[in-house]
Amino acid sequence: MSGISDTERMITLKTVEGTLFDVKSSIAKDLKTVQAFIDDSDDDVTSPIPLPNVFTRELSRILDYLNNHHRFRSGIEKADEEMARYDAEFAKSMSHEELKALILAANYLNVKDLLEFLNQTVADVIQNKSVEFVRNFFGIENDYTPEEEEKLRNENEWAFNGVEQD
Amino acid sequence: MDSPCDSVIGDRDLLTEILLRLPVKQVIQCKCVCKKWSSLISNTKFPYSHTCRLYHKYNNNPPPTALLVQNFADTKAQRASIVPLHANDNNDNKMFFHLDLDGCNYRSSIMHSCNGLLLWNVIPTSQPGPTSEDSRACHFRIHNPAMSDDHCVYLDYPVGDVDSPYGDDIFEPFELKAYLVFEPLKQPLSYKVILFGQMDPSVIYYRRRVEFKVLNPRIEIRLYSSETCGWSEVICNLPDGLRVTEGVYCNAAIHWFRLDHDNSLYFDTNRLCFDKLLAVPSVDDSCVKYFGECRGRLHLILSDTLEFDIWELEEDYSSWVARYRVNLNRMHDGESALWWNVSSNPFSVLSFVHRQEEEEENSMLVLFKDGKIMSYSLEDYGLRVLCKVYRDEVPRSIHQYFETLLCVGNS
Repeated sequence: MSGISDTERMITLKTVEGTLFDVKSSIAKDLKTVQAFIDDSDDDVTSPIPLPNVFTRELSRILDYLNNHHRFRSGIEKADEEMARYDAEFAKSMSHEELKALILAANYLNVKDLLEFLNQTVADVIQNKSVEFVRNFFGIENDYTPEEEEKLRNENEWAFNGVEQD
Repeated sequence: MDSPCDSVIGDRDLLTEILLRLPVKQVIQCKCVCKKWSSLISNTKFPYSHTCRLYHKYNNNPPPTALLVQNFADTKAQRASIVPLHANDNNDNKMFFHLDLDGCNYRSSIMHSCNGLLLWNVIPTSQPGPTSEDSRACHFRIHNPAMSDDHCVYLDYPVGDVDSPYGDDIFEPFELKAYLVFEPLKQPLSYKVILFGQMDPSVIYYRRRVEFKVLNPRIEIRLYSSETCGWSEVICNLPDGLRVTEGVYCNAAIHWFRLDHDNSLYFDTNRLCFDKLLAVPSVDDSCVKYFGECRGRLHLILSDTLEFDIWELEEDYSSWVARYRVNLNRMHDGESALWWNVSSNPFSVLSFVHRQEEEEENSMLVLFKDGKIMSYSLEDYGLRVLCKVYRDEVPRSIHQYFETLLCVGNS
């Protein structure tokens, strides 16, 4: 390994569409899949690392999130409030489709903190919503017969009390 | 571009992570989404992971989600009203937990609620007519009311003292209190049931007029352990003059406050012995409004007037600390202030729910007056009606309820 310090090194990532992103190695550390690839390589990685499952829109958002969070963490005390505000805006800026796409990308790249945040965001979206809403959100087909579903709902009547109608 | 939806559900781990973050009620609803989800939720590891996560969030002592209120006077209703404690819940549609009892040959009542499981006492009524072959003698049932009845555990009463001159072969105390000890975070899941039976009546009548107070009624303690699958008798340092009355369960011990003039004590379910409980200085019976438990701490409320103190016992039982001073004169119902022109406290305290600063909701008292169960917030002094009971007498049987996905029975 060369003597250059980690914070100066840049890693290049390539998305499905062929777009190239230059990323500081300190940020790349949070992309655990990428970091594993780097660690496994014997030589220094010079050519762009291809990410066959990640689209430009998602990688751009992920890097945006990571860059901002790194900035908040290294800054002064008030960062917690700013970070919370940023997170809220970040979540609100996406449609449900974009949110799901981002989870898949974050999962593939193994970005732990972002994944935690996105899972919570999805949980918040579907919280208190009806079963139909949840099915639509995930694009799931109901494989219960009407009688089976009726029976399930009756058995668990208590849990269905007070749900929002969407 | 392919829709990413299928892939999100395809990844079981991702889906699990999302479901783990939902409240219990919603997770149960999600069983209806599709069969795959139902199977994921019912899988033995999921309920445990969900419970661990929930408890971890509250430092292993979650606040109750509801109160269960049972009214014994209502002979038809062998069920408990669920009084939700969250600000967003309403009880306009009255909800109940009830046991699925075969026919009307049994009476049931909740003896204890512990970490989401209920312990019911089920007694056959002496109905004339044929009893079915499946009918059982007195027994207990342990179940999680949030899950299906398949997971109910049936426990027959222990055998009585076979050497006794009375020739009993069933355990038939005059007074019975039963407690369930269930610590949900321990693996493998196990539980205990502890019975306190007063084998002699408190009072004996002689020739229908003269009353003899029984000074030292015989007390028997029985223990059921899920690990041994059997009952055993507990022999220990029974205090003199002990009577079987309603105790408060907290941290695997059962506490009785001021059993007589200055004896408060507790029974440790691990060491299986009695110990003295620290007394609160200068208190007399007229001012004890409430003795209960919340989130692993014992609380005592003392007062005669509309102003009272809430005391909390330290974790190591070394001292009582005055936690709050509450003035019920400062009350409003969201629109206007409420005034009480009686100097004595017209409220009965059913429960004290303690919440930490960082939690969304406030600490509150659950009060009862004029047939209404109400919550009184200690932060903003708001009084909110939780549920109407339409009875004047104070509900006698109140249990805290915690939603959980865990069960101890086998399906």
